[in-house]
Amino acid sequence: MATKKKAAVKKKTVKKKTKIKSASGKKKQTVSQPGQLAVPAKVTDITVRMYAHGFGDCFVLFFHLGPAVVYKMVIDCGMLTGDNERLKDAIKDIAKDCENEIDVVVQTHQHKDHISGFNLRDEGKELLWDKINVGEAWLAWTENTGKGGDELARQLQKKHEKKKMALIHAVALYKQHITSQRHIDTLKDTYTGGIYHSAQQRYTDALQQLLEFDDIGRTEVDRAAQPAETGFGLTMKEAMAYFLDRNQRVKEKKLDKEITEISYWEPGELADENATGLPGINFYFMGPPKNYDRLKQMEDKTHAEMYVTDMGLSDNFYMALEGDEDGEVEISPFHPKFICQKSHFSPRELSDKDNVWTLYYDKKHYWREIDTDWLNNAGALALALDSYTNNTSLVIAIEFTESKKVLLFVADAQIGNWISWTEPVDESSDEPKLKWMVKEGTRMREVRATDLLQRTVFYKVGHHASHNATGRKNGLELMNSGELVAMIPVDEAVAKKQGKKGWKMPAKDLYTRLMEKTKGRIIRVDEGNLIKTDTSKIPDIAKPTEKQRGDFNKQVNESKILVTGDDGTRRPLYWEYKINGE
Amino acid sequence: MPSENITTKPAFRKLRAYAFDPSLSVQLDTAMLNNLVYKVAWETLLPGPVGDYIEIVDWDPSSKCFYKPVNLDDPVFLAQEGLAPSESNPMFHQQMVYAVAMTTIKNFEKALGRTISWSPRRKANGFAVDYVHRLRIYPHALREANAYYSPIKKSVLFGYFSAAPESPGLLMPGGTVYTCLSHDIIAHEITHALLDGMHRRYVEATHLDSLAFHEAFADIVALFQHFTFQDILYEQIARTRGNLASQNLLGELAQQFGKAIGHYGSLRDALGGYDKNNKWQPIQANTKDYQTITEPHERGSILVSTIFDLFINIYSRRVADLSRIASGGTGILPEGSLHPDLVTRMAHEASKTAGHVLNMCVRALDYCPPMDINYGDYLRALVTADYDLVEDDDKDYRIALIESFQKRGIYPDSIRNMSVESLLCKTEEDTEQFEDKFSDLIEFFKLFKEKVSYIPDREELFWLTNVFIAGGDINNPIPRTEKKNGEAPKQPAHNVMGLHQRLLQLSQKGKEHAAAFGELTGLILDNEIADQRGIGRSNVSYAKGLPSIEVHNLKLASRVGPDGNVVNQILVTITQRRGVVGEMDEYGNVHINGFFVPSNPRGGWYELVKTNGKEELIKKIYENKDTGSEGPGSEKVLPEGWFIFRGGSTLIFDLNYAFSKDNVKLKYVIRKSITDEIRMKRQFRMMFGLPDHSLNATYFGPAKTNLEAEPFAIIHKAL
Repeated sequence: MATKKKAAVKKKTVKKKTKIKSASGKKKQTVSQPGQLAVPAKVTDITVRMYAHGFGDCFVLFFHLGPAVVYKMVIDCGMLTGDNERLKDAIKDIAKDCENEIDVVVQTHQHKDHISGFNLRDEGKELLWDKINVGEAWLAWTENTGKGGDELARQLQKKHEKKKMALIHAVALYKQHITSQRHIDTLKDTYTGGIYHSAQQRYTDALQQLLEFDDIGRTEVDRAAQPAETGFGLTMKEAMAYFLDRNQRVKEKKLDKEITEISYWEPGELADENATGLPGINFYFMGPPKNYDRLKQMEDKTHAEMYVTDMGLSDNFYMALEGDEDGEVEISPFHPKFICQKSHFSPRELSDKDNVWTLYYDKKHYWREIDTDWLNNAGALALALDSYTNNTSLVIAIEFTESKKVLLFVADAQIGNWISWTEPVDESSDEPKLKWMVKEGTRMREVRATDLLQRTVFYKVGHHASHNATGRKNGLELMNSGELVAMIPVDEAVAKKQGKKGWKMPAKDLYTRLMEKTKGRIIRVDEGNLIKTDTSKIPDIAKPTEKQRGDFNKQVNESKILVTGDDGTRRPLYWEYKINGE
Repeated sequence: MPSENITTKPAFRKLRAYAFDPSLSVQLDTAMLNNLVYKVAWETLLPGPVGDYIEIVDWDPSSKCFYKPVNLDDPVFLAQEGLAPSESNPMFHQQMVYAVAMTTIKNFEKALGRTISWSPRRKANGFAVDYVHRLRIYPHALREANAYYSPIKKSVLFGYFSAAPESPGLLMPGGTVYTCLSHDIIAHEITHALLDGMHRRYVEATHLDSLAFHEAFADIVALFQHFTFQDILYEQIARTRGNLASQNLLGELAQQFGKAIGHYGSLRDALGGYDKNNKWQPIQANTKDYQTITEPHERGSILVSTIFDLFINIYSRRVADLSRIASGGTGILPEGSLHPDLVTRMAHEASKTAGHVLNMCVRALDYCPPMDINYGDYLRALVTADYDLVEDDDKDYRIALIESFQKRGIYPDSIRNMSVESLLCKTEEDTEQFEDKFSDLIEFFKLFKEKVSYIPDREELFWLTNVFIAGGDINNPIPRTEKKNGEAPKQPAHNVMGLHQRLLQLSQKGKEHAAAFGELTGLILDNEIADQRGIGRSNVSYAKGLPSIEVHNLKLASRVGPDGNVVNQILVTITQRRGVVGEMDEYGNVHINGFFVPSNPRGGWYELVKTNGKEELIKKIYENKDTGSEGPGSEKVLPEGWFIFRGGSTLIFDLNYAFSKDNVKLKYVIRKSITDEIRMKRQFRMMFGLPDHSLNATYFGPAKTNLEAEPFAIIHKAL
């Protein structure tokens, strides 16, 4: 199961050491001269910086070798809604602080709140990211859909695209129908019809906001109501393909930069010192799973709740909207001879008020028509698609090889992704499918996901702390380190404005448990360090000791630059937390 | 052709249909006979079929096409028991839905002793109602593994879906599964509609049990109706070895019935499962279940397994002798096949028992409260209904019943011990002071019985009942707007005072009387406090300014018991609604903060203020438009935490008593008091306090807030 990372890895291992030095511009680096005691031989600290631009992820990791920064890593750069200027400010700030040199950029998955920044341009219409040198780009295997890429990834992408189109059409049709005068008039005449109609409207809004993750806005949905229109949701595809496109432009000499090396990672693979040239650090790739059932799993079945697994979703639903592989729209499951038109009935039959055709089409019976009911399934489809993309998140555990401390970055991985890390080979054994063999001196060490979770001292909370993007039994409950700290990229003010009744982010009980686990040592995009000045917001059971609070505060830093959040409050452009690797 | 003069109408129409889902029949370990002939009560049918109770409209909106309607009155189909079962013929689908739906409807009518009615369609202002003559059924309405009853459209929608589980590839997987070809799903959905027709407030999720009850009841009907088909049972019993009286046999069969599609089966998992040796074992009831399980489906399964327990109990008693005869007294059967006569007898007993349990369960609905039902209420209803019809419980059915509930920790509210006597909804001590008060009603009820007893037309019955409630001309009950062409000319008028007015008059004979009568019926009838207690006042001419009450229902029930005794009862349900504002503190305690008049939320609310230990209600106009809410999307004129609370009662008057004593006796009062604070707080907790951890809730809000659209669509989505 271990690294089957093709020739690319080997190539990298050779190339890396030199390349790393040039990329980070620290020529004085002394990795190969262990004799000198003044400069440590291994990475000593990692500073995690979380930008607070809005509802979205943008992280920069600075790897320190003593006082010097030797490696810079960016994980995601996106924002769901709000003022793009704030995200631009963040990118410019990254460029400045990294001196336009970044070793690796990770694009975890294709959602707007993670990658929209790669599409942003400056006043001169230049892509902001074009100005920065990037040594490598890391993506999940699910994005490897180009020539010679992964066959499963290609199949999945094709299917996913199809479903996405079906969803856009379903929402467009639904919207068209419920705003029709006939529909409104019918409901006006019905008891609680008003409530029903506003429920339908809120449902449309909620669907629309889910589509925002794919950067598909209202106007695009309205456009989809016209049969001839095509080409929806292209912007995030572009953003995800940014480095492919950039390399193309470099080759064509349209951009004066070096080629960015792109790697697609699979679970069970590892980037160690040989691969990255970074001493004392291992990068473990945990997800996304190479298993379709897990990728589409949205909920934990053992969690007692109403919505389980597929929510009644079936392939024939989206085929009615988009057709099958050849684009053939499958009309009806029955032979055409069973289908009838109005002409099937004689005028005398039609004049009978109990004639079945008349029962459906007579004005008197409009209140019973069912033309939109089947489209209600769009909600299930939207959730399925959203979860699927979240489950394709590239999950990375970063380990200090000496102290074995772990930083866990799960992007938006949902339950299917989490479960796959610890899933046993078969039901009767405890042996997980996923494990890594790590070279340590001359010996090989076996590492399992449970080890990594147990040693986690820093957790980037999944999916803005929604309830289903943090595994419980084989997730948070395993993180037992007394040093555990969490960062949550959540902007509650934005989440509250979304959906029918506001998105539940952060989910209350998860949030409470996180506080208990971290002893309040949480940094949020919108609120910053929760225990900076006092612990009054922290429930008793989660209260840190004065020492814990003091130690933590010493490691937290913030930007001098202030931005204005969506709720009007001023806050620093980023928060930082420095993790000591000893 | 004047043939009607010579021959009588046939009693039945025979129709072929599947006994199990066709998708399931290949999975059962033996090729069991899957075709059944349903005997459906005869009626003239139009193509659709469109009959007197249901209309099957086969419009498939996702495929944008209409399927040809089957004409079951066509001699070709009459001669060969309808179309042959076929998955690929939508006209057969129509036939099967028709056959199962009508079987279910007729089972209800048999148990209730009267014709059923669908819940009426309410117009925008909430009072005017439109009679709904037929339930509409769409056999191919959805493309998902789902089927549901839509209370707002008075329709049942069935879905169809791809048989194979989703794969990474794009190719269309082979078969399609049609939910409208499953006996259990059809019976289940029709039962939702029938239950809504009897108790339309049960759709409101006011108690953990409310939606669970709807689900469980629909499952119970589907399950036991399936068990009444002797042929299926015969097949299964013939293959049995070992202990014949063992409950496992039928439990396993019940589970196989339910296996077919998604949740319709998962509910049955409640009955048992296979152990390590692949032997089916029933799940042991746990007295904590009722306290700890809150999810509607799982909670529903508690009730299903309770009733199944009862069924097994009765069945075992009935076949104990057969088992002894067949095994020479040992109870252990010899090797080899069973004697076919024995199999027939046993199948007969099982199907008889199933029919009996089905009857009991349906009949009990008449003895249920008009809203906010819980399992305890249902237990009381079951006991009372059975007691009423079969006074001598020589087979100890009622004891068995109570035991099954007790085993799962289900107790009715405020019942001290679980004996038959204390569970009966008796009211003697309550009603004593009203002994003569109802005498005024005797002539009225007699007239009602006389008028409604012989009306075969369901529509006329509906309008006539309306006139008896609201007052008017009982000889011409159908409103002019509803009249069909060429109908009978106007009769000489016979005006009566309606029950609504009569009851209000009864209640308004002085303050003390109003209080006592209110206590009895669970209503607030005191004129002075109607506003500040959040009730509001009536608008009708004869009761202007009186506290508003609603006569929800007026029904005659005539049933014949096994001993030939006839029960004649008048069922009356009266209800009230009340605006309540609640709040939950950080410790999870609910406080009632005040009330408002539901028909006029803009008129302000009455805050409950405690001064010097005395409670006072102070009128306030709510103006905080940011945090308040009146309802989705509209102006905010009420504080957060408001809800509509309902109370009232089902009154059962005994007519037999009236005929002998010339007096009307109020025999039972099944009450849900509108002043009951415990219930108020429970409903608040139900509406605002329960966490919902689903993905759906993350983006679309908690499920209960989605219920306003299609309550059953959402509930069923747990496939």
